[in-house]
This record gives sequence, C-alpha cells and structure tokens, in this order.
Amino acid sequence: MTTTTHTRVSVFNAITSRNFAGILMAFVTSTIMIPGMTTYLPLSASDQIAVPILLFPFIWTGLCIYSYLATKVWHAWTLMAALTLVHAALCYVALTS
Amino acid sequence: MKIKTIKKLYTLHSWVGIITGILLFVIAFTGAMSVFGRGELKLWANPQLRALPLIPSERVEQLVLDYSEKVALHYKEEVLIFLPGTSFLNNLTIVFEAHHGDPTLPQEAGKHNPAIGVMFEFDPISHALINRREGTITELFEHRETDMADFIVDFHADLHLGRPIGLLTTGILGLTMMLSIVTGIFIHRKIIRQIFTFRPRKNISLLLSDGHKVIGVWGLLFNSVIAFTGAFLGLAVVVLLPAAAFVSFGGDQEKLVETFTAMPEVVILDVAQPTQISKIIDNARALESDIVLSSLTIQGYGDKSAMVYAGISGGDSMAGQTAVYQGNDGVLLKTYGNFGRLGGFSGQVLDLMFSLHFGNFGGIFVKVIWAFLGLGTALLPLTGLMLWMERGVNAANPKYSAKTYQRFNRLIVGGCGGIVVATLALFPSQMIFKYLTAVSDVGAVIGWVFFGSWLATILWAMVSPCEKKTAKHIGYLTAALLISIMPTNIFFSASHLFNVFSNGHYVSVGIDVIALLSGSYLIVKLKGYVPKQPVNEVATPLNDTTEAI
Repeated sequence: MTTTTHTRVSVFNAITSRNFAGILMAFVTSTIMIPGMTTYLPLSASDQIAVPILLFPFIWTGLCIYSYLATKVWHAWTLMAALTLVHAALCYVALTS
Repeated sequence: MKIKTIKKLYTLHSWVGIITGILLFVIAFTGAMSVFGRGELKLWANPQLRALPLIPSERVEQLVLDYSEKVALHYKEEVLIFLPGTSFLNNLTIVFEAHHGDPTLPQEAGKHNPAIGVMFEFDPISHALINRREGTITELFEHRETDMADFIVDFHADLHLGRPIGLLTTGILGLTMMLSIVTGIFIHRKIIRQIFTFRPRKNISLLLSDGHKVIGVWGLLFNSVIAFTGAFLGLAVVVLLPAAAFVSFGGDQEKLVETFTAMPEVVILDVAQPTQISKIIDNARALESDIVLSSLTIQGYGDKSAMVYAGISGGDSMAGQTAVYQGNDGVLLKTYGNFGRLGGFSGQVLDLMFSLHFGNFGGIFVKVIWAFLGLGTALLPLTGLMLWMERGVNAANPKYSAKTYQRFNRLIVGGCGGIVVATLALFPSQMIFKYLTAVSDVGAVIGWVFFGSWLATILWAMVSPCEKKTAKHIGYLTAALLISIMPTNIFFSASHLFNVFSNGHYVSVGIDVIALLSGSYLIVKLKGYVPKQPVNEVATPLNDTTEAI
C-alpha cells in the first residue's frame, strides 16, 4: 500500500516578514507620512492638514498590497523605511527650525 | 497582468476575507440598521416623539429669558439650545455654559478649568421643566437618555469598546475592506461580463460564486465609499488627527480641532440688547423646504454683540450646515458647512464624510437605497466565506480537516446569524424596558439583551448536532422576531394600521409593516429549504506537508 503525500507551495515567500511589512510597517509608515506631508504640500493651510489625512487609507492600501506583491520582501521594507525616515526627518526639521 | 500576480492577489483577497469576514458582516449589518438609527428607529423606540408638534419659537425665547435669570453671570458665556427630535436629545434642552469653568476657583497657570454648565430639560409638549443638572459639560451629556437606536449606532461606530480600541477596530476594518475591494477588482477583471452572470439554480457553488461577484460589482462604488469613509471616521480621532497635529500644532490635538471647528469668540460690548431667538428660529426653519433645525448656539446672549449659530440639516445641502445670525437684529449673515468654511476642497470632502457613510442627505428614499446596499455589503463577506468553505471542503486536496471547516462554519452561522437575532431582539426589549421597568436610560441596559442573545446564538451553533439545521432554526427565530415587532408596537404604543391616518405615526407603522412582510417572506423561503449533510460527512482529512497561505 502506498501513501500519497500532497505538497502545497505558498504563492508568497518570507510570509511572516510580508505580514509584518504589510500590516504593521505599512500602518506606521502611513501614519508618519501624515505629519511629514503637512510640511511640504503646496496647499492652503487647511488642505495641507486635511489632504494627508484623507490620503491615509489609500497610502496604507497601496503599501500593504506592495508588501505582498514585491518580488523580494526587502524591496517593500526598504521603500517603507525610506518613506518613514524621510517624513520623520521632515517633521524633526519643521519642529526644530 | 501576470498570472502569478493574480494568484498572489487572490490569496491576499481570500485571507483578508477569512480573517475579517465575520466582523465585517457584523459591522455592515448593524451599519445598514444604523442608517435609520437617528430618525426612524428613534421614533419607533420613543412613541412620545412621533408626530411631535414644532415648539413655538416665542416659547423657546421666553424659556431662555426666564431661566437665564436663574443662573450665575459666568454661565451666560454661551447658551446652547437643543430642540427635541430624533437627532440628539428627546427633550427641549437649554444649557448655560461657562467656557472657563467657575471663575471663583483657582486655576493652574496657562490652563483653564474645564467648561461647566447648567442644563434645563423641558417636556417637548407641555414645556414644563422636568430636569435640572449642573456640572462639567461632559457630565451633563453623559446622563442623557439613550435607547435602542443610540445603542445600535454606537455599536456600529465602535462595537461598544470605546476609544481607542473600538474606533481603531472599526477603522482598521475599513482599511481591510479597501484592501479586499482593490484586490477583488484585479482578480475579477472581466467585470462587465460578471454584472449579468447569476446562476442561482445550477448548484450551491455557482450560486455563491456568482452572488459574490454580482454583489461586489454592482455595489463597487458604494462599498468603496463606505470603506473609505468608515476607515476615516474610525481612525480620525485616534490616529489621523493626533498625527496631523504633531507638526502643525505641536502635538496639540485639541487646538487643531478647535481651529477646524470652533466658533470665533465674540467681543462683548456690554450694551444690553435682547437676542432675537424667536426671529432666528423662524428664519432658520424657513431657509429651505424640508430643513430641520436641531440646535442653536448663542454667544454673548443679551448683548449687542451676540452671535447665533443655528445647526441645520436637510434642504439642498448634503452635509449639515451652520447658519450664522447677528443676535441683536436676527439678520442672517452666512451659511456654511462645518469644515467647508475653512476654504479649500478638502473641507467640502470632510463635510460629506458623515452624510456619505450614513446616507442621511436625501430623505427616506436615499436611506432605503443605502440600507439595501449596506445589506449587500454584509452579504459580500458572507458569500465569500461560504464560497471559500465550499471549495475547501470539496477540493480534491483540502487544506484543512473537515472538523476545522465545520467549526468555522458553525462560527459563521452563530456569529452572523446571532448578530441578526441580537439586533432584532432590541425591538421588544426597548419597549419592555421603557414601559414595564423603572429603567430611565434604556440604552445603558439593553446591551445585556444584545450581547446575551448574540453569545447564546453562537454557543447554540457551536454545540448543535447539525449547523445547517441550526441555521434554519436561527432563520425561524429571526422571522419570529421580525413578526413580533408589529404586535409589540401595538401593545405598548397603540399605533397601528387602522389609526395611522389619525395619529400620523407613519414611520413606526411603516417599520411594523416592513418587518411583518420580511418575517413572513422569510418563513415561506425557509419552508422550502432542506438542510444538507454537515460538512464533516463530506470532506475527508488530509495530510499536508507544506504550510501554504
């Protein structure tokens, strides 16, 4: 009698890392981008605050999807780390100048 | 698009649906009910508000004058008048507010004491004083009477988990819904063909698959709007505003909100002149047809400099508006949306958020459309979950054991069926608590019935021998609760089809009739439904060697 073993192959590699990137890091990045964007958007005072808030759901959705679609997971991490650092730096400059 | 990318998106779509599906059903179903929350359900729950006559404007002016003489001078900084109705308070309510607290008490440097006030509540028909309260503004409104309508609207907003957990949960659910929509659009690219493909009689798998796609495609625009506005409304207070305030307002969220929403303080001239409350109320009520005046805020009451802000809704505007009047002569100065006054295009978008989410901008017709589409939104995760299980159980190589699929199926039956039962159980409970007990704030205790019946239904589904039979029994229970709404209303408020033209209780009787018809239809459909074998008798366990997502 022979036993057949079915093998499943995930469509994603590094799934734990992608989950962290797509859920948590995407949320942190989109949140930090809100105050960062208020420093450079060339809009009126009220739009400068409201537009980043309104963009938040779209940014999170885009980053989350990218985290799962990126060929290599470090691409997604790098993009989000860069966005986070740049926007955090913009906040720091705005608060200290 | 590459087939591998589509496969990834499909997997992501499936997993988001599996993880959030039941909760999304709960939020969407209660959302469809909440569309009628601050209006129709409020009227059903409070028979004293049905066919309520308009309070004469002169009477309001006289009451403000009389009671302003009974409070200390510092309380006259701002006068708030809430007209009775379905939007906020059941009684005519006048609040005299001191923005900076009691001036006789010591204050910390750079800070002011919390705002305090004196609240007077009057019967909406006799205008007799029924309540007087004093305290901080938060305390005054904490004790307002709530009911089943408030309960269900609040549950939809934050699951009664409060801030920040509740709002964060519903906000994140809005985000995951956006994720499901975007991934769904890419997976189902042949969108036009799917609009007209619905084969309900072929087999259960095709029914679920076609149903999921048809509901998704027809409701695409609506679901996108609901997901976006839901994510925004949920996250605004707990994440978005604090983040936005971080740089522009040095982290001071209150200052940001004040800048966006506060009315400019008037400079008191110390020249006594009566505030033309009556004239302003009459003018505001006549601004447009179908306009509802819900509140007045008066700054500098009794002074020449007084300004009056009237909160209005309805008319041609989609969002709530504020009409600004000069207090001493009652002349209308301008009308604006709450955020629209700030200028820019984002203010107008922010003004529309609430109206678009709850569909309260075009009368009952829009509300009915919103409720139907909302029920469609609730069916989307449900059909998706059932489809996932149907495919999983019948796959040649199922990923999970039959027991696992069965447990999940039971959770869906109990969780989703339970929320329908729990919501409908609010109707008889509201009337029983209101008329047969000494409970004054029904909304505060009705949660026991709601959560109790929800939990009981989940337990019932988890332990019953056959979950499909349980689903049928839950269906019968739902039908019984729907049918019970009309006799409950007749028993407690004496409103029925034969006296509706004389008492004018069209809304509550309309709810009774719709519930009766829905319950009867459900019974007819359930009688023709034959439950099949439970899933554990169909699928066989398997041996997986590699973890797949």
